[in-house]
Amino acid sequence: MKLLDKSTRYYLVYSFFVFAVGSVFFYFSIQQVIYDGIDEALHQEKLILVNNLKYEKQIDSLKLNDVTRIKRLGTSYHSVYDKYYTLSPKRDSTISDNHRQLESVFKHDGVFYELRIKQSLVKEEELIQSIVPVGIVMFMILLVGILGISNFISVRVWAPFYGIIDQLRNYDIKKGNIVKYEKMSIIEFDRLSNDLFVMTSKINEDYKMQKEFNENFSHELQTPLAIIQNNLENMIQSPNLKEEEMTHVSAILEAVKRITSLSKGLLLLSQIGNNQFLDVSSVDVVAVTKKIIAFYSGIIEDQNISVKEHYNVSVFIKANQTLIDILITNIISNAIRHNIDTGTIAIEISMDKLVVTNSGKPLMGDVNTIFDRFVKLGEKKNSIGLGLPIVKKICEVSGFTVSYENNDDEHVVTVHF
Amino acid sequence: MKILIIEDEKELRKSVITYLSAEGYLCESAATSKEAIEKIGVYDYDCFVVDIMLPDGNGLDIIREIKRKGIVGGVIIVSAKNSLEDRIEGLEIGSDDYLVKPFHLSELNARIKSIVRRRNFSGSNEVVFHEITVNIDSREVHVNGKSVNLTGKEYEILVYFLSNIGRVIPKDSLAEHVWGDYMDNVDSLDFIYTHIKNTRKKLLDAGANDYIKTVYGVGYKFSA
Repeated sequence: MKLLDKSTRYYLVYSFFVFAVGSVFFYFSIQQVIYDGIDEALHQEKLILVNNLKYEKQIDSLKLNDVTRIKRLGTSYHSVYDKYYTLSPKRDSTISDNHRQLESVFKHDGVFYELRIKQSLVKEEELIQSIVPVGIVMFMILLVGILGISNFISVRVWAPFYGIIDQLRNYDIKKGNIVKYEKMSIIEFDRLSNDLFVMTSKINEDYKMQKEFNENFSHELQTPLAIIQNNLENMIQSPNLKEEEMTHVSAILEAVKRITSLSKGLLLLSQIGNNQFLDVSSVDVVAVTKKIIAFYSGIIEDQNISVKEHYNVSVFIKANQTLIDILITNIISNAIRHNIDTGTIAIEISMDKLVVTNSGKPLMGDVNTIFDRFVKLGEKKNSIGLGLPIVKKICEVSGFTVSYENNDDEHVVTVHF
Repeated sequence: MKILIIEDEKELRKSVITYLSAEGYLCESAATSKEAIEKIGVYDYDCFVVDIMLPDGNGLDIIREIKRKGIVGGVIIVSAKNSLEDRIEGLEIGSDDYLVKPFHLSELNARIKSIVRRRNFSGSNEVVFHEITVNIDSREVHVNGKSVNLTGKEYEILVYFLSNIGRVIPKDSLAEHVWGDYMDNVDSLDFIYTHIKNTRKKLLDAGANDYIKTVYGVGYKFSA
């Protein structure tokens, strides 16, 4: 529900309440005013009648009719009172509509009289009843007005706000775009726009620095690594080194190699992320796969792995050649490395996907993290855990999706082009 | 043969000079672009190892200067950046090879040998070690005149050994040479063992002596 709809709803509930209660109150107060007026008229009439009694000895000679009746009650004691009330046809069958009646007992020249004067309420009730449709019409006008204004606010006043929201929705830190600042007449929106502009600019700058840091760090690491490695390489040329010393050097060399692999892997990840592999051409996935299998043929034979290839002569997709090379190399080398002796690798390529299935031992740990950096679920202790993250990153920038499934001793990696 | 090593990192420069001097090369060095240009103007070199990022300039400009002067020596670029643009530009302006730091000295040595071979041999380009003869152009291997059928990788291993005779070659230097520096392939160390085993067997079967020696888990050594 929109913020504005929410507030409009409250306005509507409140106006309905005011109109409902107000109409009832208005109805009764108008009725009261009208009754007061009629009662006053009836009272005046009574005064005229009483005054006339001075001159007329016979009450019959008073001009009496069916609305004004007077009765002589005698000289015995009666309480004197004036009573005004409404007569409905239910209570008095002689009338066909509501009347206001004055019932009065008064004393004149030592004689008590009872007087009844009534006046029809037809006109007045019509007046009161005409208030109801007027109220309803007014409420309708108010309703239409509120909805109209709300719509106007939504379309015109909130338009810049929705513009900002749209920009935020499309904001992608990887694209480096910002939420543009636009001068706005409404102070809150103007501040929002300005703050978002400042915020996204800062985020982009930090992100860029972070990316540059990764690249620079990887590059800066290369020279000291080269110094360590080259000095060790010179050291092992010495004929005086004993076996034990050689073992130490070997351990250092392997550690250096791991740091080098890590550094190169992270560099590759950030280079892919920085869109440094943009050239897209028609790449034959089958040809690449065949080339990589040929590249690893020695090891495949050595481990007695049988490779089942299910694909046609060629399958062309639009992608970057280097990235496809790395993608398929990583998947196939994983399938070899995590395989077992006399295991199998099945490679299936169709127009929309590449599926590599390999035999191997079950994984240890959470399979859902398999594409995360530095996650090592296989038995291979010297893995650096960047192969599949790179696969995922390549899929991301190429518009592919990659998934992993395993059942017992089979691992399946699927890339949807 | 004279080599000029243009590299601003002193320790790196020293280790390269140590390794290459043991190969019998005469090595000189320059730490800055200015020093390099001066030396190029005065002395003759057969080969240049050029670091791209120097404190006072770009190594590519030095290569342009070398080519402008009409010097025929081979050029190997060494860079901390594995940048495709630098690589292409370097090759376009006439360098022969591109190595990314950190590199193995045995690899650098093999690359220099390869360049020198390409430049110096006209006609038959052969590497001979005792009874083993390798023809670089036709990629044929003979032992005592008898042809040996090596796979592509086995051939590369043999040539790499022949370029670093008598030197201890770290395992991963060989692995990287054969497999390239593909990511996350730490197991290439296990892989390389298979290929060396097969190469050795084929050479022995053909009647060659056993020149490939294992060095205490560090690597291998090819020597008589």
